[in-house]
Amino acid sequence: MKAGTIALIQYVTAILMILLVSWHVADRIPWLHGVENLPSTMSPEIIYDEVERFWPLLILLSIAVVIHGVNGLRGMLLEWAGSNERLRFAVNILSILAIIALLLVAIHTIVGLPELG
Amino acid sequence: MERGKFRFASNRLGVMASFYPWIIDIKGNPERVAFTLHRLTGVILVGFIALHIVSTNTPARAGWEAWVEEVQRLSGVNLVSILFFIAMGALVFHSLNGIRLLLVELLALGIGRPEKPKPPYIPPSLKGYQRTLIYVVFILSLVIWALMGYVIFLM
Repeated sequence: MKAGTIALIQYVTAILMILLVSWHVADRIPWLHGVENLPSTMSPEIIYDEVERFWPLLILLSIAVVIHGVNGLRGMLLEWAGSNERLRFAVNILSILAIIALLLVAIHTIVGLPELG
Repeated sequence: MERGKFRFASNRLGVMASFYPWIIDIKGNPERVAFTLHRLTGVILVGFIALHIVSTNTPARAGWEAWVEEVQRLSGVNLVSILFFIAMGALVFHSLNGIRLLLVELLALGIGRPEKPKPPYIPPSLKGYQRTLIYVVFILSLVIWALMGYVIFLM
């Protein structure tokens, strides 16, 4: 993939995250849910309802965050790797594996969410 | 170029140079500080994201009881809530500075006009209102971080 394309992906995911992360963080404000503290905003009922209603947004958020984060770290590690081709290859492969692994866990979180007892 | 006269003239510090805010010898260069903090907070956030994704997988992996136990760790002042607070600080700064970078890099807003270099060599990029934007980012980050601290520790 061209360096310019990767930079573009970084910008697009950044713009997506401004909206999605703001929503995700704002959803933890206690008085929006009529509860008294932060842990109460993460009660099973609230989380279940959130995942049921907004699962496409949560998957999009996971994709944007994981790609942006791992790609950012990859950029820093490539600077450290310099012109060492083996290191560069290892950094690129590990980055792809990290993205796949984290996205699989994120998707399992949504798909495997148990019913409320 | 005479070595030793210019700091890091040989540019051999590699990635460590990124974490040294005074590498450009211009007095009070907030752009460099913002760059360093953006990287530092980025590294913190990658660690946080990985932990967050694994931790939010708890209901699917171990059921709702385990989730309730996990969430209770955020109550009060303890190691988990302090680390969460640090991660939220990193998130706020990284987001606000990221918005500034999008304005400057994507839309070319707030940077000065290109000019003939003359001493002292202050980059034109620092002469537009993006310098002010950097201070706005610093101050807003602290304010929002303090509000988050209130929600995390005092509610």
